[in-house]
Amino acid sequence: MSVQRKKMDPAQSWITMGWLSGVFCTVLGLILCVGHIRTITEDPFHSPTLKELKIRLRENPKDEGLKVKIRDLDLSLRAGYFEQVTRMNLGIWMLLGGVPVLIFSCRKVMAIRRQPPVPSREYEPESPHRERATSRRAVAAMATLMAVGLWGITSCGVSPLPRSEKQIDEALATGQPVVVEISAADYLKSWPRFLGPLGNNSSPGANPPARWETSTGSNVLWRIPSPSSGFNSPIAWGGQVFFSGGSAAKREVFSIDLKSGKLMWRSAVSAPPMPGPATKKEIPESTGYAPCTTATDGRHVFAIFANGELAAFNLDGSSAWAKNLGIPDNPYGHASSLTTWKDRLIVQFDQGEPDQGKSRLLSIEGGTGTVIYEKTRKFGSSWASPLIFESGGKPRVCLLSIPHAVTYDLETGEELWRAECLNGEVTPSPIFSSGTVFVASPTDKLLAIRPDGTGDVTKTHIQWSAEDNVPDVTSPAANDELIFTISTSGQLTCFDLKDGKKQWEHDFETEFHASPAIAAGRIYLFSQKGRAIVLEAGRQFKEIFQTQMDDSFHASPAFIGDNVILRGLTNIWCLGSVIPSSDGTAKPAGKP
Amino acid sequence: MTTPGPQAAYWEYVDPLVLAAALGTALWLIYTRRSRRGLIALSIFSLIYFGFYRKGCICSIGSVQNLAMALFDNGYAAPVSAIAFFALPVAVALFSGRAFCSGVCPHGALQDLILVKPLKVPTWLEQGLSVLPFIYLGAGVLFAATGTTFIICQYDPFVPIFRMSGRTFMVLSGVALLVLGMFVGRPYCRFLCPFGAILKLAGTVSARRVRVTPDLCTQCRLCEASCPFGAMRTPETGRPAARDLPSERRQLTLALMVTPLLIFAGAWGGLKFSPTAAMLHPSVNLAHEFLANQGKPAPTGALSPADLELQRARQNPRETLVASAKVQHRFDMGTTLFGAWIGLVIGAKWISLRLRRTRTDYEPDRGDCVACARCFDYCPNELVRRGVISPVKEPATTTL
Repeated sequence: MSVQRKKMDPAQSWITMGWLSGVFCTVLGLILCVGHIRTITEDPFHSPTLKELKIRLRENPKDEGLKVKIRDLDLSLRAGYFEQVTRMNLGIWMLLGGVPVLIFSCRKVMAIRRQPPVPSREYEPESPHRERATSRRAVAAMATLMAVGLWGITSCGVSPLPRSEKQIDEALATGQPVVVEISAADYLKSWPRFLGPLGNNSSPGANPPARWETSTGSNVLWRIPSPSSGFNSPIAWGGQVFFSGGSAAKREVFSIDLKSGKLMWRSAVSAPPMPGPATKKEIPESTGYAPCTTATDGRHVFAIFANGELAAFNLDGSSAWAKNLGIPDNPYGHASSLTTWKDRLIVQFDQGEPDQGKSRLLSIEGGTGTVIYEKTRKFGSSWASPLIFESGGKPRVCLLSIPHAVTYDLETGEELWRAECLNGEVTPSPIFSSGTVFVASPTDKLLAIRPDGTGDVTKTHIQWSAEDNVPDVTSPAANDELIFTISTSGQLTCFDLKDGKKQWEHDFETEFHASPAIAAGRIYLFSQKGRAIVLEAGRQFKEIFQTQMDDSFHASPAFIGDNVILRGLTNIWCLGSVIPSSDGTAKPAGKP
Repeated sequence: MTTPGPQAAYWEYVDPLVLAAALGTALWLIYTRRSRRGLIALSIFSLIYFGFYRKGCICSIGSVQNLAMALFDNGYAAPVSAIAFFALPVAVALFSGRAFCSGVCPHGALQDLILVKPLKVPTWLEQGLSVLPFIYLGAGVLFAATGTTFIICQYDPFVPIFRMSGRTFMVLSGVALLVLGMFVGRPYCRFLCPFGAILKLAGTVSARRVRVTPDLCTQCRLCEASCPFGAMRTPETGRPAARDLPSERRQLTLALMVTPLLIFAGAWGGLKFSPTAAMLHPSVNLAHEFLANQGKPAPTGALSPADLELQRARQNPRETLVASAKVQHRFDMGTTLFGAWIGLVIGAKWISLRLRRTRTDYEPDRGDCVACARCFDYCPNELVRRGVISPVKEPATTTL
């Protein structure tokens, strides 16, 4: 008996391999699909549970249990997400191994089973023409389909947008608040930041009263109780006065109507918490949460607090944006004020030790809070405020921190020059007058630096230095000829701007923390114990007026129009005999 | 997804050099070696290098947009690699057909390698769909020239596969096209690829063309169904029968007269399409969002990029609307030309389907042939040339 061996199909092994790889790829593909959907739904950023918990935390920001729950959930979601991504990557590589095997097996099977080509029927030379006739109909159908599709998309109702100047004007007129164009003149007649519009503690156009009397109310337009604590100075723009205040519980920005002294709005800061574990850094009580003066670009008012919260508000008090820079590592608390240039907010955020590289200079888009640049500075803590000035037609920003005065290109943040000239704890801010930068090294030297240098200018660009009664807290004030300093102990000193020669000095024997300010040829001084002094800003000492006010002044004054705005520990004051209009100009009281 | 990560500057020169070498190799394999195996090896190399290693960028398909943008935007200069990736394949196609598609393009290589059991696409469907690449090309140029977006890159179905990541929709589109590509030869190349449309035009006028036979065509018809991409053309008699001649002439004249009308109608339709298309431009979209959100309070807390854009628009509303108006005017012109282009494509296709050609041999269509060299193996003369089979000897005649 003969056993006939069954003939083996040569394609059988490839078919088996094809099936195996096909099943492998299909199962793996399904797993990857499910995994992909999971990575979308379980994305930590979109977890509904996490979102809900965060909303609850906003309502109860002190709920520590909730914070722990959020952190745990966030950690587990992230861990799960990245595990899933790792699995997905592994799966993709396995699929990339399986698919070629499947394709190769299938192609092998097809090659083995391929039949030799056999023309099926006689060729008809006219058949291409018949096919073309059908093709023409197909092309016509395709054109019709496209026309219908385009018509459908076009008629889906896109609202027309303005195209001409007229249409743009109409669109802007409906519903959109009129946007005020900010000019240099607007800037000069306001007090938009610490150190005033010119960066030298003077106002070029203001004409505040030379005398006033708190007991009779003469030349005191209004006074209101201070709504919140804070050592920051007031600023003024248009018809509004701004300042900030705060405590551990709440940080706020206030707007007072310049005309009436009524509180227009107070807005609390709602900056997001810093990412990462909460840090326990103390905010020194002596400095408080709100030592930094606010700043405005004419459209927004900006505020920074000692805990690193930075916020912008529209002039109607609505929040524009807020962010958290983190609690600065500063032994006396962060106190550098903000400043603005065009639509940019400039932040000096110095902290820590020089070698730690924690200090930063930030340029931020005012309207959005977008950081344009953030430059790390190898300097330690500083309490001075940044000075903006122009040199050679280009905007510059000067920052003080031991032992250097450093100037940067404001547009790019690139360092231009530095002068080694500072000692002690730098608190007085630099000022700019008559094309020169003036820097006070606390209780050490007052220096004049030409701002057109590059690199280390210590030996080349310091024009003069003076050592008499140099302040350790207050910043100098200057007009075109003279520079005035007042020490904490009350020594007022006048120097010639050009050569630094001392013109005169006078000891008022009372403590000052508020910087002197100049307007209408007069110097205004406000002491810690409420003494107010007005002098002529000239080469001779000449006191015009002195009075005792029922307050204590740590904040520097702000001038707007014919008014002086003062922030005392207990009151906000507006001195002046005329009622300011909403644009900051003034008219005599009682007249329309 | 459309923007690859930063890379070293030398790649801008390395990639074109590799492309030139690959194109040279492809030409040698197609015309000198006539080797299908060689082209498969080249396809695997291109898939690995241009696809998975270089992650599909820069690629010739998207380079059209770089050039369009460089032409219409003074502030944009096309990179050297983009110019080379556009010019080299086109130059080769002008002289020697679509060598780029044969095994250099990673998209084509991927589809070619996965083709398992090719099914014939009906000619009418093939011809109907063949206008799509030209229209897609027009759309790609429109949106690039207006500075809107590179849609060809954004909706590339294979780039997510090369990069092994991407939007779900595009990943699924890529997988779907690959599955389809196992049974329909190169669906993306034939019915979507905008660069393929340019190479098709260049290939149509190329000096050298791919031939099935290395020798004389014996009209054995063995290669009739050899092309899985529908590029094989059968012999035709160019002249119709005498009774059909007047009718065909009339219809051709009609097609020639209708084409300008199609162009005008397309231009009109394109202009109507302008506001919708312009919405894809970021400036116009921002103006739309700005007007839609007028009077609403600004969002607070952590702002999304869209919120930030809106905030910027609120800072400079006039600037936002003026920028939007400028873009809209550009789109008016662009979509009008785009509509006219669609009309021209349909009209030209219609006319081409009216024309008769005289063809004596079985030969690949100059424009449609992707030079894959599959048909070579079907030709007995080719097999004789390779020594696979012996030439048929004429029976000896005996004389009395």
